[in-house]
Amino acid sequence: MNELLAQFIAEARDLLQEADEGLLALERTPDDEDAINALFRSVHTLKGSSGLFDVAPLTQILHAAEDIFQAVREHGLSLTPPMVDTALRVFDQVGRFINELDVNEALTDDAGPIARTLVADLRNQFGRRQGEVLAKADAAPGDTARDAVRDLARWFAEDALVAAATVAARDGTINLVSYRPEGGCFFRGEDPLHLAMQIPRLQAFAIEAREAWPALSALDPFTCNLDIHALTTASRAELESLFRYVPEQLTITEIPAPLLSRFDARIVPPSLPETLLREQIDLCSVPVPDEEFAGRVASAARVASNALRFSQRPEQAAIVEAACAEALAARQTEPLTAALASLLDSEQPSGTDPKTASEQASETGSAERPVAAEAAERTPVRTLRVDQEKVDALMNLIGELVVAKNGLPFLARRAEQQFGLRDLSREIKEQYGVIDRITQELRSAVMAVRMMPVGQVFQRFPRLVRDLSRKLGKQVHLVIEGGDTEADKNVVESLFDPLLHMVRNSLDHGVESPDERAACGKPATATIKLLARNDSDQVVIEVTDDGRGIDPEVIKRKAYERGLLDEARLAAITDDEATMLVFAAGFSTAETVSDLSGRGVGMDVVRNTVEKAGGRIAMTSVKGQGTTVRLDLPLSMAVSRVMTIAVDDRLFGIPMELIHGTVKVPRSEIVHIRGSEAFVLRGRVVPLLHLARLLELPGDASRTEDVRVLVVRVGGQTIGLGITAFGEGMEVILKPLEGMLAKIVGYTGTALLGDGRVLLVLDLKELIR
Amino acid sequence: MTIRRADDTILLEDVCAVEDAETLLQELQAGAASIDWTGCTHLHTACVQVILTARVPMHGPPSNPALARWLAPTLHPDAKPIRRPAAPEPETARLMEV
Repeated sequence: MNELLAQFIAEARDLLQEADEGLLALERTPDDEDAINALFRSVHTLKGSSGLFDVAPLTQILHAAEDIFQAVREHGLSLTPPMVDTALRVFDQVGRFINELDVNEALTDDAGPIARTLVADLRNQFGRRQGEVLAKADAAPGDTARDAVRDLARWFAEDALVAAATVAARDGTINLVSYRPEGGCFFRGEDPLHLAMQIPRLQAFAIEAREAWPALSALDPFTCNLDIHALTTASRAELESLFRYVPEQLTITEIPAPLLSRFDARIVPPSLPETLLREQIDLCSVPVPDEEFAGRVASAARVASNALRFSQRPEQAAIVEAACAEALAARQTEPLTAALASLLDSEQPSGTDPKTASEQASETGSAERPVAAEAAERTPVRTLRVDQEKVDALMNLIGELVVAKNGLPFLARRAEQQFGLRDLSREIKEQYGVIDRITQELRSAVMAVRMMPVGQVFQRFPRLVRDLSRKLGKQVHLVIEGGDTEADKNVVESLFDPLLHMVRNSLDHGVESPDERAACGKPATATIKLLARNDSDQVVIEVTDDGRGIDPEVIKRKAYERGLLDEARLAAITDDEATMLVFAAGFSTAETVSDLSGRGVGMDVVRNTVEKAGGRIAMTSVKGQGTTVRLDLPLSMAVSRVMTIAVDDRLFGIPMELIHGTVKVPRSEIVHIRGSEAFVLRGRVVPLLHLARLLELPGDASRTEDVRVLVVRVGGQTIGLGITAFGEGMEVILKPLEGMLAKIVGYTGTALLGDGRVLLVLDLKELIR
Repeated sequence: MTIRRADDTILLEDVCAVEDAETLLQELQAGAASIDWTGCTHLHTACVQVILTARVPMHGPPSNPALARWLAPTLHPDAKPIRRPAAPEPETARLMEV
């Protein structure tokens, strides 16, 4: 893919996320100036960048959204939930367009109609009120005129514009009349076209369909679907008198002649970067409140420098960035506007060819070059976008380094025992110590590259919770804590699905309706908390709600009804264990299946995903007070912690997170119940399985006095595994079984030991099943 | 009568008012292939909407000079009636290939 487009796509996704957040923040606190400014800035920057590509429908939507948020910002239009719904739909569509661009590098053919429908929706939702507000807001002619000029080329024919520009040059200004008749106007005897053609001294005239025309058979000719735009030198007073019966449907924009000059036939159409630079100058020259200053300048500089960089003028982009820094430091827009203006000036004589402009600069020399060079030094590139595969390759190499390094202690031992070289052995051990330290640092350095904040996953939830709670008619406040906790990219990415299920479950089953909550004496608005924190080498994620909680008795009964429990277990099971049954496959307590959850697939999917990522899941719940689900995930999936154990003289690895403890059980204390064995551990009966038999290995461990037992928790059950000897805990790079071996069940993968032996790591869940 | 059918052609004559839109729509749905508006002096917005949707060849220009000047470019299908957003400018297109 073209690099510029790729960069735009990556940036667009970030900006869209910011816009989403801004919108939700604004819905919560309508007076939040920061939120509306952030929202407007993201949409503005996004629209500016999108203009560089052939994605007119995308730009159209964003333009409409920008207009509306500007109205919100400047005229205190407050947002209603339906408005937010519409705006979110718009952002969703923008996201889909961006995805299409990512996949096909172009928008699909239906993008145009989709965009038009959305723009119409957006305008309808906000339109009436915004229209009223805008009609009163003649205060900033520069702003609206600038926006209007952009649309001129779309509405009017080229020659009409040239003619209008000539007239405007003579008269100084020209008025753009945009007339949006109401849908039902024909029934009041109005004939909008006829009225518009009465405009005196008409220079250009265009009609535009508000929504795409339907098929002839579906047309309702009596609903007005036309917008009318006209250019005229008639005065505002003349126009207002002509349209006196429909003033609210009329927008009159005064367009100063210089803005139109670009349509003059003698001047070639301005390049897009140039248009964008001009826009940014205009944007900066509008007075701005103090607290908004930095954002406005940064946004303008970003659009301008992107435009320059995209048109292969990085040195000019650097000038803009330097000027931006200067402007921010001085808290004045002048340095930036001056820089932009000088760039535009330097461009004028040489036409729009970027090459000549920069060549000229290098010939005329002294003035501009040093500035550019200096600027480039002052703003070095701070971040790199690296392909994930490159980092993965690095990680694999480090894995191999770890294995090679682990060979050194064996070498030292051989030097001492086999060749009797004590000194050499000691020196090898010293060297090993150094290499070991460097390897560890190297590994944490590469792991740090792969680390990303959990917040990246959390940030998708405010929107989700809002939509779902609205749908369910519940009031929910979402609290997010610890979003900056970091974990490996794979771990973070594997989090979304489990979290989604958990949050949905909380919303659907946990949180009660406002009435029910009131009856229990709880506040009507429920709280769902997403929390992340580091706990040694683990990331802990908790989803907490203050809903109705889980009743262990109900769980027990349901599990029994569904055949997940037999009568004996039903009697013995503790409340905590009963709660964990929620994670069993095929379990659901919901009486009815909703489209959110309740099909009994949710929570066991959660458990599987979490366990696949090497994590653990636990749930605690207090009836009537709420539920907490806790996920313990490894910081990184690249390195697994295993414990080595021996069965006879064979070595195996068991994932550390499954291990509950180790005990020695005297043979006399093992109880035989029919064919199976069990022992008593802290007052509870734990089934005992012999690993040798599970693995179908020859030989039996029944010779010793004591049986060494590894206590593991698999699938919510505590099980004792009889083995021959305990080994040690170690970190290994786990390689999955591949090819022919992949079909063998019971093993999660293999790891190389320092002495070159292969360690088979067991998949206990498969083995015990 | 302001809307008349002659073979495949619909003739618009004198003042075509709002209620004529229905007749016009019916004639077009019945398979009329073109519209002759040389005799037209006034065309109501509703009728314009029908013509814009149907996109059949128009014979003109109409006798009212205002209609001929401001509406004809939009209504004659070959004149690219409703403008789409401007195509990307040549310079950008070139840069995108880089």
